[in-house]
Amino acid sequence: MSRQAEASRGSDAAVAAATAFLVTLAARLLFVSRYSVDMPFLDQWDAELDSLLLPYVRGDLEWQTLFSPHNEHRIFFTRVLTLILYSVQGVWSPRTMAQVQTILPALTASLLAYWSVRDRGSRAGSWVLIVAAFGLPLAVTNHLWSFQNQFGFLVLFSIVAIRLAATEPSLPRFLALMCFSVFAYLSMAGGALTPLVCAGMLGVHAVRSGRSGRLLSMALLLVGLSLLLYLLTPDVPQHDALRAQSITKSAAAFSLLLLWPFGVGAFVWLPGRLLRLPVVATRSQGNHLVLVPVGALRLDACDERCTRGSPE
Amino acid sequence: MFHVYTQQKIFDRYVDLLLPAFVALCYFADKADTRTKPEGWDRAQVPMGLLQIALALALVGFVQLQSFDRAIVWQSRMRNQLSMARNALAAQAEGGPGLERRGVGFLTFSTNPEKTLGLLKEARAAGILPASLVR
Repeated sequence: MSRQAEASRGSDAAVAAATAFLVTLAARLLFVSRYSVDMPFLDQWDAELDSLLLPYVRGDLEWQTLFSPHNEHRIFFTRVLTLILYSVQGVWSPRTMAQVQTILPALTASLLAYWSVRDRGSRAGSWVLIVAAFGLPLAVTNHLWSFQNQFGFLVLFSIVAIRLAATEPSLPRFLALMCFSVFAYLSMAGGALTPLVCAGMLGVHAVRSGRSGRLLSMALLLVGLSLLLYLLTPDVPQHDALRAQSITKSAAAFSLLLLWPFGVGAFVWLPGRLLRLPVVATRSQGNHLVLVPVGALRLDACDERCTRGSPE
Repeated sequence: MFHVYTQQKIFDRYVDLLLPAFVALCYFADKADTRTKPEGWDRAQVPMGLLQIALALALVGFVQLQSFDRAIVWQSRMRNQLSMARNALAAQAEGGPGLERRGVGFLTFSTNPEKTLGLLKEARAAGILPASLVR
């Protein structure tokens, strides 16, 4: 690509990113402003008020608290955001948090739009789908409940990590990849699977490039990181009843998740899956970025199946 | 403030308008793409891509309609909780015998209403409760 064409594509990508950010943010804010209520709910009472804000106000908040488990999760970034918002506002406002957390999906949509245009050229269809996926209210609770920004952080950090693994990483990129994987885990426990997805991608690079030694070492390090994060995840005995108790129940829960929504998901996404077949078959570098969100979804479904697989 | 039913109708219209607009946008965007990628599999991608987009948007439409219903239910539920929390705080301020435990229980520190009540008291004393609660 000529330098001029590259500059033009970079400029198109910046415009796509900026507009994706603004449109997603506006759509989310409109929805949240209309329907959210300034009232704490469920885990907010203990995770935000009891464990964080009251100790902060009393002056006895310890830094370790930021990393301590909340159920299975270490919600470091949620806690930091809560403290920042409280410090700025001087009051605990779940409604304001619900509005502020809209920045996370807007940022994710913006990054995806940027990469989509920069890597593959101008594609209005991709832009529309990215904005629709992140801007429309598809998971209402995640929009309206201010204690759901963990999901926003998890998706954002995981996607950055996955992007870094999409092309053969240099050492600095690999270190950044490791950092974003840890950030994903410090958003929600499911982030422990992020390095596993990246390891899979590096494995594919290794097989395709024939330069297996360095890439496989990186992949192994990522598998080790994933294992370490998994081991750091606390067991919550009260949640035993929520887990799948047999392989059959596990398989049933897994199928249900993959068929979301309304049990028709697999059929709805079938044309897209067929479209991906040549991507799998070709050896073109970078194209298998397309495969990654699919892998991530599968792993997420596995994770959900393991932790919330009980039909009761 | 619109009546809930009116809000629902407004958003129904919004969805009605939005989805065809998306379909049209996606169609023209992909049509434009074919001019630069007319060969082989790339050409075959267009109808399949459009089919995928149409199916996805139909699905999004269904989920959307459900979403607005759920949002209205959520809002109503949270307003109810807010009202109960205000009542509990007012009863406490009046020094009456009854902090409405029944109401506070609904505030879902779910298994421990006593603790929720204690937290409400402490948070009010510390001045960090949401403005909506102490208004």
